[in-house]
Amino acid sequence: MPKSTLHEPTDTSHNVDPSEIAKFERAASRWWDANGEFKPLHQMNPVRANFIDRLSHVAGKKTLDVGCGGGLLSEALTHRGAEVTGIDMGKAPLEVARMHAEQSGLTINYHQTTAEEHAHNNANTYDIVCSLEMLEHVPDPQSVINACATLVKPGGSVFFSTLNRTPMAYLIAVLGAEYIANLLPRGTHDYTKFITPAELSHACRQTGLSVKKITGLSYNPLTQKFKEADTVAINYIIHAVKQSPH
Amino acid sequence: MPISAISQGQKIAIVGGGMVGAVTALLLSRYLPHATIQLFDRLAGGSTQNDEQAPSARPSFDGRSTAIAPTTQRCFKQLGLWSQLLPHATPIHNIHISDKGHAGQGLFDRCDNAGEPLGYVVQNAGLGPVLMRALRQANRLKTHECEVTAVNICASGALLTLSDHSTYCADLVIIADGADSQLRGQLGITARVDDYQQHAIVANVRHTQAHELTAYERFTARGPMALLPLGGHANAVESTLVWTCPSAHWHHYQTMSPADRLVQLQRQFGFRLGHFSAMSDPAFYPLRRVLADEQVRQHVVLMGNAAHFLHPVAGQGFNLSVRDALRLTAVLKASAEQGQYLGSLDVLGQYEREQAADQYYTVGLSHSFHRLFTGAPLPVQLGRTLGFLALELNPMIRTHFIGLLSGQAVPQATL
Repeated sequence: MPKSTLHEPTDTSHNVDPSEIAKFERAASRWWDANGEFKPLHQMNPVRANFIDRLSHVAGKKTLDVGCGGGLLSEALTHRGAEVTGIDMGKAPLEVARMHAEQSGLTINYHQTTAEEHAHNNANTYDIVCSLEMLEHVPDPQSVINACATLVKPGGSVFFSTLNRTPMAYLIAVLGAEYIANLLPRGTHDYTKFITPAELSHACRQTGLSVKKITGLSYNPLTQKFKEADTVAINYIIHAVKQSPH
Repeated sequence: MPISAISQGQKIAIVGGGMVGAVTALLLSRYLPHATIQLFDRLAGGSTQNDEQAPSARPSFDGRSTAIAPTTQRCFKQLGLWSQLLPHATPIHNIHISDKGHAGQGLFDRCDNAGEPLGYVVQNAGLGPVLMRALRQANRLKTHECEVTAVNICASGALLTLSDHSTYCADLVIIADGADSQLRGQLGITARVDDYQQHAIVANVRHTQAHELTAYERFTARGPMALLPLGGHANAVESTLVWTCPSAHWHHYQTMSPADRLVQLQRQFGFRLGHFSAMSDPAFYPLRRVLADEQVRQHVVLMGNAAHFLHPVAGQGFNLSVRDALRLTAVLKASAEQGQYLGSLDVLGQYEREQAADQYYTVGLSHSFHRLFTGAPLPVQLGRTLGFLALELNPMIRTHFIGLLSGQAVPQATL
C-alpha cells in the first residue's frame, strides 16, 4: 500500500520506538562481531563509507551519524578523516561504541539523543549528516529527515539509506536474511516500515533538500561482498544537498 | 580536490619495499612521467628485505625462489630487467601434476603455451639485487630507510608518520607492507583469515636424475607439494621444494634428522627425479589465506600480501600481485593523462573494479588447490581423477587451466 507521506504525527522529541531500542540494546555486545547478527552491516559498511567519501570528501568535515548504534559508520568515516559526532537513543550500543573507539584510538563524540533534540541547539552545524539503516526503525521518518535537514549547513550533504518496500526486498531482507539464512534475528525488520526511493525523495524535497543521487546496494554471495548497483529494489542510499538560501 | 597537486605532479608514497612494493614503484616511475614516488621500507637498500613477520609471507630475497608466470616475465621485460634476471632464471618447459595414490595425472608442455616456456623459476637472491639497483637508478623515485608508523587521512591527502616522527603528505599511498600489514589494521581495514591448519616446508633439494626443466605439482593426503627446477638448464639436478604438512606435525618434521626428512620426502614424492641426495635447511611457516575486506579508499590502495595472501603451492601470489600492479599503473597512467587526481576514489575504484575478476579467479584457484586435495572425501577424490582425465583429453579445458595457472584467464592490463 503506497504511503503518500512519511509523516505520522507524534511528539517529535520522542520519535522513538521503545521495542526497537530494546532490540538493539540486547544485541549491543555483539555489534563489532563481524560474523554475528550485524554481519550484513559490517559487509556493507566499506561500500557505504566510500560512497559518502567519494561524493562528499569527508576528510576534515564536521560529520553527524544519526542512529550510530555501535559506531560502525562513525569509525569508518573517522578513519577517512572526518570529525564525527554519533547520536543514538540506545544506551548499550553507545557504550559499546565509546569503548570500541577508545580501543581503536579514535576520537568520536557520542551522545544519547534523538536527531530532533540534537537539531534544537545545532542547526546549520554539520558539513555532512548521515542516517543509514535507521529510518526503517523509527515511527516517524519524516521528522528525522526534517531534523537532518536542519542540522546540515546550507550546501552540505545528507545521506540516507534504507530498505525499499518491494516484494524483492521482503524476499531478501526479511524472508531470506531472517528466516532462511538466519543472518539476522527474526523481527529485525518490519516490512511495512520500508520506504520507497520515491517516498524518500519526496520527503527530502519537502524540507529543502535536493536529491543528487540514488544508488542501490547489491550483495554477491560468492564474494560475500556488497557493491554499488543500478537496482534500488532492495537496499539503497540517497545523497541530497541542502539548498543555500537565496 | 587539490588542483595544485595535479599541476605540480602528484606525490605517491609506497610503504613496503618487498618484491611487490619494488615492482609497483618501478612501474609507476616508468609510466607516470609527472609523479614523484617515495618508497619507504625499514630495511631499504639491504639485501635481505622482508616484508612480513612470518618467514612465509616474506617475498624476501633469501635462498628461496619465485615462480614467474609469463605475464610477470613480460612485466620484467617492460621494465628492462629481464636480461639481468635471465642468469638467475630456470625456464619451466613441462608441468607434471599427479595425485598420490590415485590414477589421475596431467602433463603440460610448451605446446600448451604456443611453444613458449610455461613460466620461470627465479632465485630470490638474484631478483633482490636487480630490483634494488633498478630502484636506485629510477627517475623521480626515492627510497627511504625508515618505517611508516601511521597513515592518517586528511583534507590534503594521506599523512604518513615516519619512525623518526617526521611526516610526509602523499596524494596516494600504496600500502604493501605484507600479510600482517600494520597499517591496514591501523586504518581500521579488517581482513578475513582462513587458517589452512598446514605448515609449508621450503628448501632446495638435490636429486640424482636431471629435472629436464619440469615442475612437479603433487597432491597427497597430507597436503600438496611442488618441486620447481633450478640450475638454469635441463641437466641440472637441483630443485626448489614447497612441501606441506598438517600443522600438528610440523614440529616433528623440524626435529627429524636430515636423512629421515629425505626418506619422508622420497616416500611422498616418489622416484620421478631419482633419489633425493640432499636438502638445504628448511624454513617452516604456517599457511593461511588472508583477504583484506577493503582494498581502496580515498588516497589509499592496498597491494600485494596486504591485500591478498594466498596458499603458495599454486605459485599465484606474487604473479597476481604483479598483475594488480600492472592494472593499477594502467589506470593511474590513463587518469593522469586526463588530468585526474590520482588519490580520488573515482580513479582507485576503477582499479578495484577492473582487477576484481582476476583477483576472484586467482584467489579461488589457489584456495581450491588446497581444498580439493587435502583430506578430501572419497567422491571428491573420484571427481579429481575424472578431472585429471578431462584435463588430459579436452583441449579446451586444458587451455583454460593453463590460462588460469599462468594468469591469463582474464584480459590483462596493457601498458
